[in-house]
Amino acid sequence: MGLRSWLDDRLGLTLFSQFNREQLHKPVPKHASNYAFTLGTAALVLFMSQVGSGILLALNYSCSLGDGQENIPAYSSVRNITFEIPAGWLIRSFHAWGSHLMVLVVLLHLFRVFWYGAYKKPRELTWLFGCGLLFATLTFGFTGYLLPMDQVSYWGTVVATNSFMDLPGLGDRVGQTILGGESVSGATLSRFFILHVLILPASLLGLVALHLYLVRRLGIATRESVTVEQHRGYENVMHQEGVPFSKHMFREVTTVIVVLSATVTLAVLFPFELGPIATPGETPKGVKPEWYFLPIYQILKYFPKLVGILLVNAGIAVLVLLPFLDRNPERSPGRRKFLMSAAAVALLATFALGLLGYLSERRIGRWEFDIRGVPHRAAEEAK
Amino acid sequence: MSAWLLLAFLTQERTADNARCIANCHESQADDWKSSIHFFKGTDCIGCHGADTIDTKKNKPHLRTPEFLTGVKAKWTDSPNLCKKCHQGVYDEFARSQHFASWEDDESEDGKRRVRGCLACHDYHKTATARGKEILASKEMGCAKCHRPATKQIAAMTKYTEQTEALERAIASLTGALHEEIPGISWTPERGARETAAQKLREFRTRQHFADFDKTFKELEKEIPPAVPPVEKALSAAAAKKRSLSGQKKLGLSIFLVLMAVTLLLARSWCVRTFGQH
Repeated sequence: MGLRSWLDDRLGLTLFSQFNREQLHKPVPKHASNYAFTLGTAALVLFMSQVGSGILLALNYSCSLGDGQENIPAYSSVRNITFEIPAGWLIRSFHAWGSHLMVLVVLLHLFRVFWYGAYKKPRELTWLFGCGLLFATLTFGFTGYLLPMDQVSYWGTVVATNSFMDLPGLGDRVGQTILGGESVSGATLSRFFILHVLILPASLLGLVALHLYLVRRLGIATRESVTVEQHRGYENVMHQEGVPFSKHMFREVTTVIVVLSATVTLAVLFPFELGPIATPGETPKGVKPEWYFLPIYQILKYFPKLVGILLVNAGIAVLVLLPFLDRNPERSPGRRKFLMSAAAVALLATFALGLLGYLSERRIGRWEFDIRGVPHRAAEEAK
Repeated sequence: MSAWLLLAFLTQERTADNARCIANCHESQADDWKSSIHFFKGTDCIGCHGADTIDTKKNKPHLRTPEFLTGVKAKWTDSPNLCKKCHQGVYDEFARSQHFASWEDDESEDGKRRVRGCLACHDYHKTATARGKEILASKEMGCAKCHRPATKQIAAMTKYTEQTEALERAIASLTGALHEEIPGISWTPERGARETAAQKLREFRTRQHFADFDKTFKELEKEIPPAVPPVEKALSAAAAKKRSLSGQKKLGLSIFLVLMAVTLLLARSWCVRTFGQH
């Protein structure tokens, strides 16, 4: 009796192979056989690489503020990883670059789904779980940002968590629950660490499972309108116009290899440095959150806090509830002119806000950008 | 109410700070101080002059009283007693030197050549780590004030100066090389070498204050040169580490990318074989 049949008797490998074959030969719409449709796989691979590198980092990370004075064990451990442990710098940089790429890829994936109108009936739940995945990814970035406990990460978190405190009504309570107290402390670090390494990965895995289940059950949206797809029947459309998923396989593999190569290349060529140790009494100039939070960070500067927070939440609500708000059955961008124009404006505004957020409190050449991103001629250096 | 106000006034902290000293009257002293070692080490006006520096009664700035210099119960020229508050080791060496023995109060200004304690070599406000060359060259203060050129004291001091400056240059080069923190490189051994050398340099400088030309300077002449090679070795090691990491990065990344390209080709061939050309 061979090993294969021995394992087959116990694990049911035949069933597994059969499942794989079915998945490989399941038809997908012809238009889906392009690289824009590999972004989901890219995000999943990046998440898996984050888990792998994250475990290696956690082996050497110390989640403690100590006495909170000169020596912070969390900071010292990241310092140790970056400068002392063999290849520690590479793993840390891979993890950090991977997190940025993961956010980028998830956002591009969302944009692709929006462009093809793939969120429409009957795929509303797939969109909702996808939004859940986006928020989980952003929360990963937010919680991971604090862990090195250097000046930028500490103050970035202070600025961000202060926004929660400004929420009307339960703001203070929400802020204190997140922080585990009145300000960023050892309790905050523990909470963020547990969220980052336990709760978020488990939640993300669950959401990925549900998202993938729905993608495979409902299939990838055709380019037909919702009405036509329903009328013709998805199975029939696929039978007539679909191509087997296997024809798309090589693109998926290519994307995986390109994404991993890009992450490693960035990690090697531009390794992440470590700033000075967090000092609660010294606010560094121009503290900013990560690039993906810059538009939110900037919008809060232009409006009174309450209005700004309401605007941000309204934007998030529109994004999440899009399948229920957009009643137009058409999927083709050309037939969704109003929504596409509104999305273009929103996207441009987000880019502009992000750019203003990046430029604010920065000096470029002779120009100094104030907190709102308005350029002023810089005062001459002291003569 | 008046009593309360008086009490409140009397009990309030009478502080002076650098900004106040500088803004009010002492810009020129501040300019000197900003070029001093004290400035870089964070010792400010109050560090030497104390907090109780303002005669509020007469609205008259600090008087030349013994209290002006923090806790010094002596005349203002008594610099060693002030400086030893932080530089006890140097003071101990200086106190047993001939310089100290010949030191007299200079306040009478009667034209006699006298050594004015620490200020003979270290200018006040500009207070610098005494630069041997400057001390040797200065006509106003330093060696030339009492010692003629071509004496054994000047020769010994010149030698000492050259040797310590060589060590100082080596330490400065190493500090510069270690300033850049590069992920993947541990500077721990090199930082250790630099700290050891800096410690030795401080020790040499402290001992030099004894200024016994027949003993101390001869010992220092033998002890200073061997302190330089470990610093130079650490500097070479630092440069080698940078080169090595850069080489490892290039090689590692090239191998990785080639492996990825090969994997891609193999995957393509497997996909074509298994699923046919698309």
